[in-house]
Amino acid sequence: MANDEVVLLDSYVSMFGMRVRIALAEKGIPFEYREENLRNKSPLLLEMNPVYKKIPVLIHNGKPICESLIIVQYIDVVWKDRPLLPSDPYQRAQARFWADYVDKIFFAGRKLWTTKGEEKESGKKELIEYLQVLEGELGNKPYFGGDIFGFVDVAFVPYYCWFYAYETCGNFSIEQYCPKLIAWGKRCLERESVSKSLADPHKVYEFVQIMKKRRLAKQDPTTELDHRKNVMSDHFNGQVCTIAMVSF
Amino acid sequence: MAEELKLFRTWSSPFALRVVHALKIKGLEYETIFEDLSSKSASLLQYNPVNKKVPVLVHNGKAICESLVILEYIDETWKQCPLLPRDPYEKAKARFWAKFGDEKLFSSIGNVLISQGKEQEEAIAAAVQNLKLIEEQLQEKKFFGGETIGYLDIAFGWTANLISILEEIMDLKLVDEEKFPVLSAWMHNFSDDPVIKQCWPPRDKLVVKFQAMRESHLKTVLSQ
Repeated sequence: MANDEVVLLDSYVSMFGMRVRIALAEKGIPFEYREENLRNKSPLLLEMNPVYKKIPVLIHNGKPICESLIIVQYIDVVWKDRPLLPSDPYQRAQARFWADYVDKIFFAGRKLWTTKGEEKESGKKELIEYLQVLEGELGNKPYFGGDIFGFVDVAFVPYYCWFYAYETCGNFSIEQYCPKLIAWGKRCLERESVSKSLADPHKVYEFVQIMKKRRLAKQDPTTELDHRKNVMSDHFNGQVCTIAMVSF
Repeated sequence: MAEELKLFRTWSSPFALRVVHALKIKGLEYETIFEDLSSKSASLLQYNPVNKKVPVLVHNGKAICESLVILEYIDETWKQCPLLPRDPYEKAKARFWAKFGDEKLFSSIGNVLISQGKEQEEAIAAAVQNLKLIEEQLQEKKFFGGETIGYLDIAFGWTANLISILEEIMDLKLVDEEKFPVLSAWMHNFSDDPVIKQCWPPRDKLVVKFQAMRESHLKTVLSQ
């Protein structure tokens, strides 16, 4: 599409931002990448995402789209080459379900560097459980999308560059529990869209260390985890869950 | 081809109600299986082994889980009475606000129910702020979907029913007609729609349920 203006407001280590980078790269869409300083957010970010003030934000011909999976689905519909979502409605529903599931890892993984003692151990246990469920879903397929690298792969593979930080903070090996996921991650990294979009795992770990120090030094409002026990939701769904609002 | 549609739900779940609304708007026949969440059926656990939650829609033996995912599935499978906007940007906005409703609005309304005193005042302020954001999305339209009920109306549908129940229990007003003229009008239009109206769970049962939820939570807080 000629004369398209595509801008991505993002942050290097953000797994959510990486999803959008990968989708744009898969489709060969030229875009302007803008690194946001999340402790000093740009007026453009605040204008384009006034509700959450978070990255990533895709700005397409001046119009903002927010929330990483919503952005990826938007990209998939507007630029139809190299589809990421399957065309069959049932397969699409499965892809959406699993892409949403992936984000449970974010909240569990975060506990590895924001908590200690029992809470940290329980975070580690949760993280391993979610990863094992995902490994089960992958099975012996080359990708979550089957033979084709697809929506769930895009949603999940950014976490692969966070594994080193999780493992180091939690003192465990993910490969020990989920060897297929590690093989899948390496397979995905062979794709240029992934290798150029994922952050360096050591830089991710450095970021985590900085966050940890800041939390210890003082209460940093930009990293404050705001737990809200969603009583109504728990009750209706028959499951204990905590809705954590995070300002990334 | 004979379609087999089954919906696993509870009598009160607002998430399951979304699926009911969508199926009714599309004019689809389906079988309802009511679940007791304290004793989940083997079928539910078989169809939703990952999250073990309702609602689950089973279409010709294949299970779809998570209410917003189910809405999109229904809309993509049965093309009559389209629910989501066709324009990609409008579609992205609808999805964004539905997610906002589930992640921020729902919990902020819930927080009003489970708190009291100063904490409740703060919870009310947060809830009102979120409700204002929702109202802004309506602009001058009758429904979020325009002239007819759409995806976002169904996603927010629970507000048209549950908020007034919570207001009754706690003797306070969250959605004041003067402060929220557009949202109040939408709540009336949505609730009174003939298709939607027939689906509401019994109000008196809901009042009892939420009253009990509030009391039990406040008791837990006091004992801590």
